[in-house]
Amino acid sequence: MRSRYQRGAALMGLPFVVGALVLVVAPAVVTAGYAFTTYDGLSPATFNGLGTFRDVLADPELHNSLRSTGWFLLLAVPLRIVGGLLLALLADGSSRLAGATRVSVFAPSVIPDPATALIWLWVVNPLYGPLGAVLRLTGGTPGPVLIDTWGARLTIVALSVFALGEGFLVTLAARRELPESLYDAARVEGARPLARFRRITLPLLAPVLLLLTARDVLVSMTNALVPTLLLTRGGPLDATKTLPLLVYERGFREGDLGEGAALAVLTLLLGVAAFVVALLALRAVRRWSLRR
Amino acid sequence: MSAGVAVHQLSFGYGKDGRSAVSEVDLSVAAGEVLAVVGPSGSGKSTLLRLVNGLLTPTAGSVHVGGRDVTRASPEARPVAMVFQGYALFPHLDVAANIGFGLAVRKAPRSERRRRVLEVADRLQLSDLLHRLPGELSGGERQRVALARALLRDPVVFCLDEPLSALDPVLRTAARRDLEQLLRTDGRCALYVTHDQSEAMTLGDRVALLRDGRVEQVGTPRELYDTPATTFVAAFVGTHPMALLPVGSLGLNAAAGVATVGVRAEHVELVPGTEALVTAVDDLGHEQVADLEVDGHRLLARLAPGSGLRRGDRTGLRVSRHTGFDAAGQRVA
Repeated sequence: MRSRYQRGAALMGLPFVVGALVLVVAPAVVTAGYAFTTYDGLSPATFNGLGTFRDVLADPELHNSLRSTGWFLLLAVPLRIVGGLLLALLADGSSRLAGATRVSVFAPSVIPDPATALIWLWVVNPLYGPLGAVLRLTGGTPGPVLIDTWGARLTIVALSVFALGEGFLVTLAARRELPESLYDAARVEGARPLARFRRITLPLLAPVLLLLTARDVLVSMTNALVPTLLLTRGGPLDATKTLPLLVYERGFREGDLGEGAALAVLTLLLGVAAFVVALLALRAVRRWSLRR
Repeated sequence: MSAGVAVHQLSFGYGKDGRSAVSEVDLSVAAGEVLAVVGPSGSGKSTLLRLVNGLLTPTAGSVHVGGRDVTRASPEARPVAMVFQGYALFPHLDVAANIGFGLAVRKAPRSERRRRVLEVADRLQLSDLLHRLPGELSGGERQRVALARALLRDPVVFCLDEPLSALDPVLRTAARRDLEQLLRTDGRCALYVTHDQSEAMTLGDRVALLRDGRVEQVGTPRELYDTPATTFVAAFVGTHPMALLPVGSLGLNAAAGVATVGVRAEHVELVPGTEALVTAVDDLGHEQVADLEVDGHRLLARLAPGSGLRRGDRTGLRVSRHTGFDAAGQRVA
């Protein structure tokens, strides 16, 4: 017999279960199904087997997109994690500076993505933006940033790095859990700030940082859509056409829903694979940092 | 005095309001001696310890260790070892790395690290546990690791902050004996901070009682017990606190200037009579302790087991010895 408690819990969980089924699981299944078809959204889908995947995998646009996404992850994820860690250490304390740091680091994370994109359009604008002004002051000549391959890529990275508030908060909370007595003990033994960071803070935060990294890889992969869509449209010359943007363009702008679905499935598989790799790394590091 | 620890007019204030956590403390610990520092929480015990081990720099006064002025020296430059409350073992490092942490930080050669870690581990019977993590050790084992880490520094003085508080009562007695033995060997000395007066009395060769950052009294446990300098000491020291009664009660005749008399439980003798009401009797096995009420004042009496006294009984009493304190709480000779 099920207890009242269990029934209550099931009842409360119901909206979420229904929501997840209707909004996530069902569309995912349908999408996965379309990935094996040719479908333009108007005429009925025709089964194509693995043909759609074969086409997509041979598509140079996918290869280019993998490169763009790879660069983005390679630059943005470490910067977000290391930045979050350094800012968390700076913000850990009761000084006025620490308090100001906490607020100003988290603030960009609550600004909606489109607004952030507009801010960055202004920042890198060669005529009116602060970046151009700084360049002029230092004797440089500001040029249009977003039509340069690396200018555009770095702008997207910068935008995502400024929204590192969540990782920052988690790192800060984890840092505060470390007992001060460990730092006293290390100081008594002669450990200077850098040694205390390397021998205590870093190994004890390593599990949290790796989990954040795993999550960040997954999240950044999907979050790369909005800024690239609003800021660069994937340009110049597809230099910032990340996987989610490619999925969107192929499926909805070019109307090839079959290939779009196949690309979405590939994106998901890649994300999961990256997450699993990061989790394996987490286990390895945990074992290493515990046993040393 | 032989070269142990000496602090002179040591003061330290926290915060902007200049509130002192330790003020004008004079204490010394001779080689081979254990000085127990005891006091209620917030009395400045831990601050005193941090001034000696160098985690804090005093606002005034000096610290000498091993005959050397270390007032402004960094913690690692002092011949001082620290055993923290709760031991502060590094949870991610195994026993060997915990013990050798200081050597690793100072980049000592691997062979020297190994040799010295094995040496102290052997002395504290930790040789079989070197590759365990702190989380896999018992409380007693953790204490030995903390002691080994301290011993590796070859210190003049051990600073111990409530080293037994993390242990359960059964382990405590054994751990206390081990500790005693270790602290006194090789002419080292120890500053032992505790809030537990019975621990201070049994472990300390001498005891310093702190109150609001000042030394209330320092002396042998016997001196503190028999001749408390103030009413505060009288009430703090001893399993059964000294009963403090206004002069004139119980018909005790006291010297001039005495405002309060202190009476220890063992100096109360029960005689036939009715002036005292028995409000409670605790049977401790080897003795009984009776709570008595006389003229609205409370005092304790120690009785032989099987006294037959019960709550609600009335009895007479005779005080064989008492201590007099003046209106400010100071003992009157």
